[in-house]
Amino acid sequence: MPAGGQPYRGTARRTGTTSTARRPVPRVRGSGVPARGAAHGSARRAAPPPRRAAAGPRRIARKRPTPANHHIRVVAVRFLLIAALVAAGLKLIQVQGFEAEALAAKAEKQRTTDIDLPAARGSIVDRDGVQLAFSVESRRLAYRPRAERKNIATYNKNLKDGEVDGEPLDFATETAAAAKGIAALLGGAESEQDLLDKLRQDKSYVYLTGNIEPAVARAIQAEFPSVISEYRAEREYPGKSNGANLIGVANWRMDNPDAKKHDLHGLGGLELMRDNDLAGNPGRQVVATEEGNDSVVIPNTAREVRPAVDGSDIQLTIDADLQFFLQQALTDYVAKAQAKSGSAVILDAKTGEVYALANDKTFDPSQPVQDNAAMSNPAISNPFEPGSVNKIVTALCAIDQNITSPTDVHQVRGSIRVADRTIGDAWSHGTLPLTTTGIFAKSSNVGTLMLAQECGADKFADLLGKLGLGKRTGVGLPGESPGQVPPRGQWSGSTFGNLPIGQGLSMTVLQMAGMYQALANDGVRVPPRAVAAKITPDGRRIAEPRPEGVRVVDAKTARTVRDMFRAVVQKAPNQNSGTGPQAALTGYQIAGKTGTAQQVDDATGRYSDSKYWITFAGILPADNPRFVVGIMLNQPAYSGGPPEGRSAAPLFHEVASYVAQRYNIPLSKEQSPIVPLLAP
Amino acid sequence: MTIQAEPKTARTRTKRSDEAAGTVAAPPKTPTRTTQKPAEPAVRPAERAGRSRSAAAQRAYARRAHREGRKVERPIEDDVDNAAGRASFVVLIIVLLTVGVAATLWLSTQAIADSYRLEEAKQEADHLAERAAQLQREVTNDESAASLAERAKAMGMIPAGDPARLIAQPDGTVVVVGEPTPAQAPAPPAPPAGQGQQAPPAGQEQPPAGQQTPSGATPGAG
Repeated sequence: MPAGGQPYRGTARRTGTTSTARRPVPRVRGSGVPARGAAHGSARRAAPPPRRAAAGPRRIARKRPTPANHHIRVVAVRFLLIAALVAAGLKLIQVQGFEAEALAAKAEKQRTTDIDLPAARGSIVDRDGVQLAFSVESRRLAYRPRAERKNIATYNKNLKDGEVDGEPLDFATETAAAAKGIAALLGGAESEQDLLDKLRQDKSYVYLTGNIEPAVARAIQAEFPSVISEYRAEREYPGKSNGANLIGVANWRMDNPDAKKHDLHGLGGLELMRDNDLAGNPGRQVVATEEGNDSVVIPNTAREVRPAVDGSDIQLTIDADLQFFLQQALTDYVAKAQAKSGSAVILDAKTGEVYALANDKTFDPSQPVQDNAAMSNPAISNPFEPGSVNKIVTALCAIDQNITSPTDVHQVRGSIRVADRTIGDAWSHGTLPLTTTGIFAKSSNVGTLMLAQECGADKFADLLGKLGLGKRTGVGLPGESPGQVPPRGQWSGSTFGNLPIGQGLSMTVLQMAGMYQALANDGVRVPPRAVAAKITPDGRRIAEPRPEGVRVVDAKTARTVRDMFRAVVQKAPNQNSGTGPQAALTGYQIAGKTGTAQQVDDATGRYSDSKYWITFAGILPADNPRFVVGIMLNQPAYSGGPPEGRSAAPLFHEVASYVAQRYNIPLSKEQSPIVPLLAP
Repeated sequence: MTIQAEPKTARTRTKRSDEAAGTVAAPPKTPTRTTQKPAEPAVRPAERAGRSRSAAAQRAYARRAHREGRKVERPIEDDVDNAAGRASFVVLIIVLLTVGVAATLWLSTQAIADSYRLEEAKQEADHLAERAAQLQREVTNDESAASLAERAKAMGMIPAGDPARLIAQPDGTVVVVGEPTPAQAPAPPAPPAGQGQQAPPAGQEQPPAGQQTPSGATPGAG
């Protein structure tokens, strides 16, 4: 219709213009005076139209004689146009309706590429932000020998057929050149011969290198495009074995069949326990690329972008330097004491934060292969019988119940009978007039049991519970053991002859230090924590929940017992020395307790006379506690061995000396007073 | 026709009546046109026919009025004016279109060029970030306690042991707490057993001497 309508309207218009052209005179004349519209501008433009309009009627006059022809033409053109439209419509239906999906998929394949956006794994940092574990992006080079062989063969065949121009290629010379070039760019990380062997292997896919820097990988790829560069993230442990037992290790996992799910994941320690926080979520995006070449991304074509969410950082309460020192000192000491193993822990006296937690055996997570046995964390997973260190429970009980005061004198005999067992002291003696302080400072089993019996089993069991024994501390590290305390209902007669002197129950070195933390913190035990906070990728710091403190005894009792335990490190003549004078630190008041516990001999099923746990727990400084240190040595050379084999006190001294320097702990106002242990 | 921006409806009506007059005038000339003529009203809305009728009447009145006075000069003048306006309008539209198309082309070219530059800059930023990460990694590795201890040992440094401390009293005197002892130079690799036996007796005798155990024995053990 529009095609047909046009000429008529055109004609009509022209007829109209002719009529106007017929009387240009009155217009010009008339417009001379009154015309308001013509006054501005249109008068100037008015001149040409009449001439153009005059051409109209002449053209029409020429066309008018052949109206029939015109009509045929119109019909023909209309038919052609309609036919073209119908054809286009049919094609449209075919393309949009029947082949739509296939064509869309084909187009998609030609121009788009899914690109994975890897998420960076969070770091593990110490209390001052020193990085203990972090991730670095790297690349691993690979090659497809079979595919390349085939490519070269196809190319040579095409060359022979004259389909392409160029020089024939040879797989051997190509790989030789590649091996030489890659070896040079790697700077000696891989030998040329090794590379050549790998390149020529009869495999579909070979890895050429370990993890290398992305820049090096790019340089190699630019020169040898047939080399494949795979994304990797490398976990770095700058401290090597520092804190390795806590942190654990993470490595690149390829066990998931979906290559997009390959990522760093924890194998042990916090890396495994907090994997969900650390790992983050990889993202992806779809971009348009040149066909067959994913590296040329057409700008501004990214869509369906799901950005990667990086993992959170984990901040520990550990102090990296102190941890390093403790590990070194402990390892050296264990070697000197010829012990089987050892563990040590340093806690903040007020908050219960773990400043350092060390085992003598550790591993280097920066090495590709680790010793599985060394990856555990015995300081929290292996409980032991604490020995005399446990006498603190009796001391707390006796002072709390007002059974005795530090200066009271007790007539301590050579041995004591509890139910069916006779228990003696570590040294043989007749009846000794020991003060209460002396009983603990000289670690008299007999005196302790006398006080414990006055205190009563129920009160004693209650204190054990409040001190956190037999329960996990919830330190936030994997593999924690609760230790073992016989439930009150199952105590036999002799049980209460064992527990006060630290046999017949077990605890980890962390639980042991926790008991002394209660003493240091004026009777409130704060369960220890090793993880301070989680720091999200946007920098928000989410503190770990703080544990509730447990009131064990009142502050006065705690202070009295603490002062009493200063005598353990006292050195005085006339048998007035404590059991651990080596632990003393000039200028500081030290309160602590030595311990020696017999181990159960597996062969005989009885307590062994040669295998011991040597322990020490101490508070620095006793007058204004800042730190609590717990040390345990497993099976040192006790009898006939070096003096380190008989006491852990020298190690405490070493640790206390370092801690005092590192944290600039002010000197105690006065030295510990020398108190009589043995009544005159 | 209707594109013309005439404010008064009277004028457009006059124009349409011109048009209508033209079409009406045409039929007698060719029979084909008469046959096609009915088609037009069928397509166009009926209201238009009604309007054109009154417009024709108006036009008649206008002519008469024109013959008598100069009241209705404007419509005729408008027609010529319209032609001029129409032409300039078309030119304006063409110019606008051309300028618009050119500007669009230029801008999109610029945008693409910019996005390539952006892409390059992004890539460079990535590479620099990579380099920064690598350097950070080296620094972190070098400043870790483990490698510092190693390097210190290589330089012949030894742990200091127990320090003595000076306390300034309120009266200005200085009290020395502890016994200042020089750190022991690392013994040449001696059998560790001999070292272990020598140090302990000193350690048991007096606390300050106890530091000999750590400082003297560390090199032997390490």
